[in-house]
Amino acid sequence: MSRRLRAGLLAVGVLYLIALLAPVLAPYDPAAQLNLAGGRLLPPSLAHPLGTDALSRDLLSRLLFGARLSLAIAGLAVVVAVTLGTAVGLAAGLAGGVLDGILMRSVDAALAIPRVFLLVAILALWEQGGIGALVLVLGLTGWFGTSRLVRAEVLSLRRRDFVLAARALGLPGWRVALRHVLPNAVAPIVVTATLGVGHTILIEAALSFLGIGVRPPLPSWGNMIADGQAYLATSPWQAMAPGLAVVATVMIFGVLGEALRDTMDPRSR
Amino acid sequence: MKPLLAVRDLTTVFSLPGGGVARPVDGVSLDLFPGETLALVGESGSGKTTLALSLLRLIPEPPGHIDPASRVELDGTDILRLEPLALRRVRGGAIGMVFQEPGSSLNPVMTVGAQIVETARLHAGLDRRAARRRAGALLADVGLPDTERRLDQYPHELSGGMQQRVMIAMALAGGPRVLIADEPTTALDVTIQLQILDLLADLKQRLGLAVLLITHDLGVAARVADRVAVMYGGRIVESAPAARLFERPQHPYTEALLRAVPRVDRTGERLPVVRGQPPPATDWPAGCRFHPRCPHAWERCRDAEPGLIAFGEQVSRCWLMDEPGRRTP
Amino acid sequence: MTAERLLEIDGLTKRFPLPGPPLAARRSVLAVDGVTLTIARGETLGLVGESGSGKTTLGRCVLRLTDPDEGRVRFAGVEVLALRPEGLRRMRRRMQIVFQEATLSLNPRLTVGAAIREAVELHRLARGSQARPRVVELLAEVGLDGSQYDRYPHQLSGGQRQRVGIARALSVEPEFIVLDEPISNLDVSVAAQVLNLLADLQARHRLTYLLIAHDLAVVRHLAARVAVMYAGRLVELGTAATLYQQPRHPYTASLLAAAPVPDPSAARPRMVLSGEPPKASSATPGCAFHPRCPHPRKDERCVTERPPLREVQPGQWAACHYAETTGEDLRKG
Repeated sequence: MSRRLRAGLLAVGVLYLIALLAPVLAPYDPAAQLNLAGGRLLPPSLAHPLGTDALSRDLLSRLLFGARLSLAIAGLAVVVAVTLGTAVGLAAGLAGGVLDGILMRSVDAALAIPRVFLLVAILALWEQGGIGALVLVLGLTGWFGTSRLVRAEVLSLRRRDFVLAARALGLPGWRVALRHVLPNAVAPIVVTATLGVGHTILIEAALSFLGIGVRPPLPSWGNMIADGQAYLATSPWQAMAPGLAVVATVMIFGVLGEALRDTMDPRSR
Repeated sequence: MKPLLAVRDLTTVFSLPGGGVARPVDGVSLDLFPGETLALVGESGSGKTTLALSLLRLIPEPPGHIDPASRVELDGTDILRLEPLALRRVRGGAIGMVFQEPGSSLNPVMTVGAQIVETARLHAGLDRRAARRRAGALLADVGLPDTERRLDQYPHELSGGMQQRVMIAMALAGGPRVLIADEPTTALDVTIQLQILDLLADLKQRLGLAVLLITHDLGVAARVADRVAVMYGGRIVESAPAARLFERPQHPYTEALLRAVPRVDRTGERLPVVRGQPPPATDWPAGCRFHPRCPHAWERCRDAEPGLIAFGEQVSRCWLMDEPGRRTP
Repeated sequence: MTAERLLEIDGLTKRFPLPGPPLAARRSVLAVDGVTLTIARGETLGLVGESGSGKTTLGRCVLRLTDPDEGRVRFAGVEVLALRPEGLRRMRRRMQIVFQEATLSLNPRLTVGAAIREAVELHRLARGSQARPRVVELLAEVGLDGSQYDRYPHQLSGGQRQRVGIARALSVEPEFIVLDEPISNLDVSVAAQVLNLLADLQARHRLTYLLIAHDLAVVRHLAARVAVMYAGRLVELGTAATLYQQPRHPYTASLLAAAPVPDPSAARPRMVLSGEPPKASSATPGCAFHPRCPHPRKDERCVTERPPLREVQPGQWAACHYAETTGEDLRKG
């Protein structure tokens, strides 16, 4: 296993572990307004390693819970997107003909609409949605690229002799698809999924920043940045801590995705 | 007559990721004379392609490494010791190389003409117009008439055979005296193969080239070679004038190869096979490298590796040359 | 002594559409152009041709891995092209294929054992605990050690991979196997071993082979009868002995002349064909070979009239107007 792969896996593992253990690790309740009188906008100290925000809530705790939410949302959304994308790509690639045409032209049309605008439009209108709606919408708007990728892999795999051999043995179509085609198409799916998590975190942060993603009082890195924006001059750590967290997380997923791509590329074997 | 290209003790070593070391070319010496085709015959794993690439130092260094004791002398000058700039002048200049898969060796986004012109300008120092004329002349030389049209075509518009002719034209553009052809016809149809081999023979004659033809196909060697060298275990195990080698092979490996090839003019139920597998380049057998698979082997073969023992114009790396009585019938 | 006609191919034609603008009338290329052949049980028919000859496509059509556009394929009396999926699956047990580049014909993600086991279990030839021993038995039959069961294709040598491909084809206990260039990518010594293996297996299991190859020497070795294809058309058919001694079609003669023989002193007619084999029959009205044909008697008729495959002498068919004189004139070179 390459060093980069090991490092990437370790980093992602640690991230999710932290997120999982947020209730245990966080020193305070992220929603607790600890001391409205004198405890607002405190700089980092031993009691509050990242300081407090304008409502005297502990920033570290909020950051940890924000991690939990962001990573969970991104993870789930990617699972939805990849599953959908793979299913559509597989169907289009194997069926060919009219079905392929219909599916791919729909994907093309969907890709023509900028995702963020679509998200903003839907979420702004769907106020009662909550986290569930967020995950759903992110997933439903994020599968198009995957489907194209999977379809391309499937098309090239279809022609390969080992797929022909499977058919020559009399294997039924669904078996050929699931046992022979899909496992060999997995590599790009895994890579896209990994990079997709990082990408989704960024989008979610942006949506939360705009106020239509994760809404207060639930902490999300995005809305923490929004909250901290007003105080950039005086208490920069409010916005910087979540901001750096986003950057670091996206980078980690990026490294992992690239390492996976290098490992899974059959040429490197 | 002095050889145009003299290779002495060429050894190429590769360091492997696991920590091991492979020696696919392990002490090879050969001579190339002008106007002569030397066919280097070997199966996969014999090291023949590594040898071809080593001659022009085209081995990636790391993980590859040419042993400093090796010498490759072109008309007296050791090209392995040349400065990078001088070496580049030799590549494509004095020594031209033709590869196996013309489809992958030609740049798909450049026209055929542009690729030949590039070489012509670089090595012959011609200006653009003169280079284009030369490219056209070369295309005609390699049997592709209608040169004006061809020059502006892209590789994918040409068939395999035509692409290979273009590769040959490119190799000739620098006016080389030595031509190295690595399996030039393996990817081609049999009737096209014949055309290309004939072309190479014709060019060799007209231009007085020294040709090193690398192939796994004994039939191809029989068709065009003046001399044949057989490679096994990273070394040359037999070398002789073509007629002699095919008529009276001395080395057991050569004999076995010749018997194992199905022939159009013979029929038979079973092909006599060489038992076992070729050894890996990381682990050459002790003593004679062929001894584990040789039907005649005895203790001496295990204990000591033979040198090239001569018999007239034929040399064979085999103790049988010393002790012919040991040959089992 | 009439051997049972196991495989009968009648007027098989396969077209591939050429890429072009979506709404324009699509031109197509005739990969296989009206081929008619019979193979008797227990026999090996060699099918020879260069690229564009259609031989690989023909092999695939026989197994219905590609559906032909016209013609019929009858296997042991059953109309293969008329079969429904269930019947086709049963037929797949009786007709198998070994591919050329074993590296590509084995699923890189399946171990050797899993790949063969899948076939065995699908056709209910062994189940559960009996499957693995059966696979090991098959591996042994092709000369592989049982320990290869858990290895992946990329861990095996080219020759070993090819043996796995053969074991897989054998696993369903077929009667007929299409061998599509089975040794083209192998070294001389390994190829010889595989050829011997194929001959042994044929004798042991009473197999019938369609051996597709571009190498005449290989075909000579295994096949009793040989068919030659050019540009999708069948141009010569006859017993190996007569065909190699006295080819009746000028293309066959050129192939023989071009085949590399490891013997510099072998006397061979000097015949270098110019030009290239066409990609496939472009539906020329006349003989597909005429642009390159070296036959001295070639004339207008060759350009306008397509020569039918006719019996030039008992047991030997050739599609050439002047087949009778092919031998003498061309050998003069």
